[in-house]
Amino acid sequence: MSTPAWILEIFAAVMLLVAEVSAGQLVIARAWTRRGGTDADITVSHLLMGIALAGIFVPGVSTLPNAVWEVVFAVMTAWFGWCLWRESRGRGAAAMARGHYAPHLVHSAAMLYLFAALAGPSVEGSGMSMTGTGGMSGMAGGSPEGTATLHAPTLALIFALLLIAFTIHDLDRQAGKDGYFHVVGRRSVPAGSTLAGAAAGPVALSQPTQSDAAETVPRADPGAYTAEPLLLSPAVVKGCQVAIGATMAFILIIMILVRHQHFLILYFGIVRYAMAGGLVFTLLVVIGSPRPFDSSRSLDSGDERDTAQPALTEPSAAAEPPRAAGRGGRNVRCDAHGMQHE
Amino acid sequence: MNELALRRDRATTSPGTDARRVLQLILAATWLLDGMLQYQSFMYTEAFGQMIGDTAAGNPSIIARPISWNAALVEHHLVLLNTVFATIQLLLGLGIAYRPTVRVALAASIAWSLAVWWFGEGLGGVLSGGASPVSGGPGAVILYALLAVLLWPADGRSVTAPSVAFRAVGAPVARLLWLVLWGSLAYFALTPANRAPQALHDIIVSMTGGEPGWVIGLEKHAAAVLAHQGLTTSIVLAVALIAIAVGMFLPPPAARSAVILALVVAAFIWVFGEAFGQILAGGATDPNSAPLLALLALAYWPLATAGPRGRRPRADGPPAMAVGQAESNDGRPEEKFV
Repeated sequence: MSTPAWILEIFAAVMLLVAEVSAGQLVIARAWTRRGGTDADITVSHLLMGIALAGIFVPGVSTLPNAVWEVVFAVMTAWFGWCLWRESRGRGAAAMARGHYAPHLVHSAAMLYLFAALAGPSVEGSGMSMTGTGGMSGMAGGSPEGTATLHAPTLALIFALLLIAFTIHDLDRQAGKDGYFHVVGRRSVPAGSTLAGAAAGPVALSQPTQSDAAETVPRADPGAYTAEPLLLSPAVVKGCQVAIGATMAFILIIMILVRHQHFLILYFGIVRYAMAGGLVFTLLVVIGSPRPFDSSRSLDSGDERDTAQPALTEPSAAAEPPRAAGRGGRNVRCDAHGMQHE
Repeated sequence: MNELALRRDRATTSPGTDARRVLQLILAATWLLDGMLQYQSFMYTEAFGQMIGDTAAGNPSIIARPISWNAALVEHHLVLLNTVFATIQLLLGLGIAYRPTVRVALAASIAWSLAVWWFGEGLGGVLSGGASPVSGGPGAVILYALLAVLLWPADGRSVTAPSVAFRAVGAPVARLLWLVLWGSLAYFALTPANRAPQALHDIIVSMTGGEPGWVIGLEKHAAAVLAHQGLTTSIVLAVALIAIAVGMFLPPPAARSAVILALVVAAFIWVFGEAFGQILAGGATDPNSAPLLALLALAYWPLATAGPRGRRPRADGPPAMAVGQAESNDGRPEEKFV
């Protein structure tokens, strides 16, 4: 007997819910627009992780082949690695661990490991029906005990412990207290609107300017407003992050069974994706591209970005003297969170 | 602008996260890990029920009978009960991590730990003579209960607490608990079963089943070093444990040394005696006792800067501290204890 299928289905359902919520956040926030896309990368990662994890738990809802997911999460890992490095460079390892992107980097890397470790040839040859779908139907018939296993279980344990640590840390953190749980593209709402308090976190309660209100009104979508307070609340963002972290740790833990020691196979897989990630990283450095959705966001657009959008174009922010660039020519304009900058 | 950015940077630190809260979060993470381990395939096999039943051996009948009853119950309703067990532990972890429910979760964890210690671990072999500090005696789960008591979010009568553990129950009780725990470990290290020439060697060798190659290598090497050295090793271990036990009654520098020694001993036990809790072998229900011993030791770490509660907050603290208040574990404002 193995872990009952209905337990896995519950986790799959939770992951699908996370994916749906993330999709809703992207739609409501109009993430494809420049002003609506703050933290869109994180929300997109939640969306993709939700879909991928659900497919691992229940093969019936799997969508893409393992190889595709590997590439997706390799790129995602490289992206969050780049963001984290940019966010905390020169501040040491401790600042990096506390960085806003740290949990997302770990999530992405864990997903990459998960698919890479599952995709080894020996596992595919052991009868697990993961062929092409990435499904974990091996949970019902792969290994002698009927549980799919991962290569390099030590790595799985390390990832699981990291994920648990970040999950506990996220759970302890009070949603909306400090703006850590950013809300994708949280729009400014007209002053006095009932949505002003509901949709925006406490940090966003500063009064928007007239230009904010004027700019927001044309974008108003009454239909979307009904869901906005809920979907864009920091508590929901926190819930999604906690759910993904816990579910990922769960799947890694229950798959730690030492049956095969094909560390080298995994090693070469990681090397392959590390090279791909390095290529992406290099391209990002060469291009010098900031975040794709909010390239014009300034340092002052952090927690107050919900209502302080005009700061994007304030001369004082744009014309920050060179000292703000700091060591290594730090780009003070490219970080969306404004929390880790000098 | 820089000041604003720095304030945001500091704001990423959870408000109200003091040393005790950090230890609570580590305890929560351990419970969460336990819950996930309980969902593993192995726990849904009959071996889990048998594992529980085996702990009855050697115990007095009044202790052993409920254990056998529990084992039979688990074997008959394996899926349901194991899922309930796993979910309870998962919820305990989440509950401790979530500030509004920390008290309820800690209280529940004490009750749950005591129940598991008896019905699931046979009191850790304390009464059967099988407890060994190297292999997890007197039971990891009882340490969860002890930690929940010591990390309880209340400050009792201790106005100036020299360590986190003293805050909830006061210094005398906390020191007594420390003495009993480490003293009992020293006693168990010297029992006939544990000081036999091959006792330690056999314990370490028995931990290699199902482990990855590098763990097996570590264990075999340690076992070879300790072969036929059971008595000597037991005496050395007991001396170290006694030094730890009495160290808490000495001045802060010596107490700090005792805590460091406790951390070192816990690390050795976890690596060599417990094989990292055998988590990598796929059949562990928890990371075993050593990480909890280490966590316990951290709770007793003498705080050099300890002072009265509500002392002036750090000037460079996060915004929540700047006003002299942070939120306590139950969401109510309390003064910071840095």
